[in-house]
Formats: sequence, structure tokens, C-alpha cells
Amino acid sequence: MNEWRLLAIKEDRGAMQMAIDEAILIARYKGHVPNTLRFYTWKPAAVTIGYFQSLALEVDVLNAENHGIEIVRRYTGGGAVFHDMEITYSLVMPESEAPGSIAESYKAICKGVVLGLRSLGIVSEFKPINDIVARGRKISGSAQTRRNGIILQHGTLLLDTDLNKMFSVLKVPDEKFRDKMIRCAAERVTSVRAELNRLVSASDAAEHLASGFEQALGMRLLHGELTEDEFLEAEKLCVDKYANEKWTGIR
Amino acid sequence: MVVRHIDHKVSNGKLLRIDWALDNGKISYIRITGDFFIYPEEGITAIEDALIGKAVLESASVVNDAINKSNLKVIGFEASDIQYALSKSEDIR
Repeated sequence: MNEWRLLAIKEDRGAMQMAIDEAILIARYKGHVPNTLRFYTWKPAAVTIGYFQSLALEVDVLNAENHGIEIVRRYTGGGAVFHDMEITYSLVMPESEAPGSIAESYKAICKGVVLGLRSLGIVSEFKPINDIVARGRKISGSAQTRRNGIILQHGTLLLDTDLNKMFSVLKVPDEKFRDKMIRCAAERVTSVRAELNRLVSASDAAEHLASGFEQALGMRLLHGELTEDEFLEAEKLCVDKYANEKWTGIR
Repeated sequence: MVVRHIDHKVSNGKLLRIDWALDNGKISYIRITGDFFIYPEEGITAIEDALIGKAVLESASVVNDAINKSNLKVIGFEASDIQYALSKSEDIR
């Protein structure tokens, strides 16, 4: 069976988490590391914006700064995400090992989250393009980039929500809600806690998700560590790119 | 330069948020943002650059050509959505 590296869950600042994801992607396409799955949490809380998003249109920068919330632009497209009471997964694998189209690969990879949620007791389903919903409400969102034949997909699972805090930093255009026919933001988001009426820790959620990914992708996870080269690359990317205002404000 | 802004939610797709300007009937500035996906991501500049100096009415074919020429994969909008959004923006004005 195909063996992947599983990294221990890691808490760090958002810029470093994005940098580690890219460092693993680089190491994978250089052939230095195997396919990799990892989980992480964000400290301090952060808001990430998609590669193509406008910082000014999506984030209340002043409010974020006042709340000590880090703002980071991702390497991946997709929407703005508030990372607080959640867990993020990231996986790196060759395009050749994922189903044909990009849309199909999102579905195949997100199946790992759906299966992980099922083992936690939550029924959910993949909702194209890149969401997972439980009882019609978004509980997880994912984004992927592809470089030199390698996929990096990362995504969040909401463990709990503080919508007031979330929407104090995310600007939400009314326009987006029009065709979703949902009256307010609170009605389109849920969390593990809201579904189970109990808190689940990030490490517990990670175990369920890891098992879900093993089933969905037909692989076996072996505990491993970030290599020194990956760590050094990540530190460089953190300073030069993800923590750099030039990158954050490029659009 | 008067910069206009238009938000267009693509049906079953993503949100296009476009800042743009016209000069003598031609697009003189355009910045396409939103929660869509383009592979590779840097391809967005090929699309924006191709639209400079073009009329709104030809924008769909210009975007389509740019996507094909740069071998881009776009998820969340079609070339015609750019033209629709820009046309809507003109009407609003």
C-alpha cells in the first residue's frame, strides 16, 4: 500500500503555516520527501485570503490588527477564511495519483474529510466547487494549487465558531448571498461543536481526519518529521513572502 | 482615470470583483479579484494584460484566447462572465 508521511499537529502563526505548506510542496516536487499529510492550528488567530482576492475588499485590516489577528495571503485561490477555533489539514501528492480533472480531485481529496467527519458522528457531503456541508451548512472549505505536477491542498474544519469575531474581520459582500438564498451568514456555517453538542479537540479531530484520508486515498500514514531543508525553506518563505506586506497586499 | 467597481456572483460559480477603467471606449485598467481558482495562479496577469486596449464587447473572446494561449485552467467563472460583469458595470453607470 502507498505510504505517506504524517506530520505531528503543529500550532504556529499563519505566515509560518503557509510557508511550511509551500516548503513541503517544493520538497515533494524535488523528490526529496514522500506524499505528506499534516494538521495544524493557528496562533494567533488569523484571516487568510485567496491568491486572487483583494485585501482591501475582503478584510477589515484595522479591526484585524486591533484584535491581534494576523492577515496572510495564501498560495491557493478561493475565499477568505477566519482561522480560530478550527483545525487545518494540508496534503501534498502528485497529480498523477489524483483523479483526472481538478474538480474531481477536490472531490476525491475532500472525501477524506467527509469520512473523518462520519467517524466523528457527523453526516456531511462534498459540495462543489470546494466545500463540505453538514445539514446544508458549510463546515469545511478547501483550496489547492498545483506546481510541477504536485498538488498542495489545504482546508479547514470548523471545530467551533465565534461568528461575531469572524465577521468583525471578514467583509462579506451581500452579493455573494443572493443566489444562495440564505438570509444571513450565521445560517450558512456550522461547526463540529454545533453538530455534536460537544467540543472536540484539534488532536482528536486530526486522528479522525487522518483515518478518513487513509480510506479515501487508499494509503497508509507513517509518522514522520519535517526535514531540516523543509524547515529552513519554510523559515525563508515565512519572512520573504507570507509575513511580507508586499505579498499580502499584492492585490 | 475613473475606476469603476463591479461585483458579479457567477451562477454555480465564484464571485468576480472587478476594478476597471475605460479610456475612449477601450479598457485602460483592470484588476480581476475574487474567490475563484486559476491554474497556474500567475495566469491571472495574462488575462488582465490581454484585456488592456480592448472593448468590453470583445472581452469574452479576449479572455478565452488568453486562457487558451497560456494553457490556463479556470474554475469558478467562464470568459463570458467577465464580459457580462463589465457590461453590467457599464449599465449601472
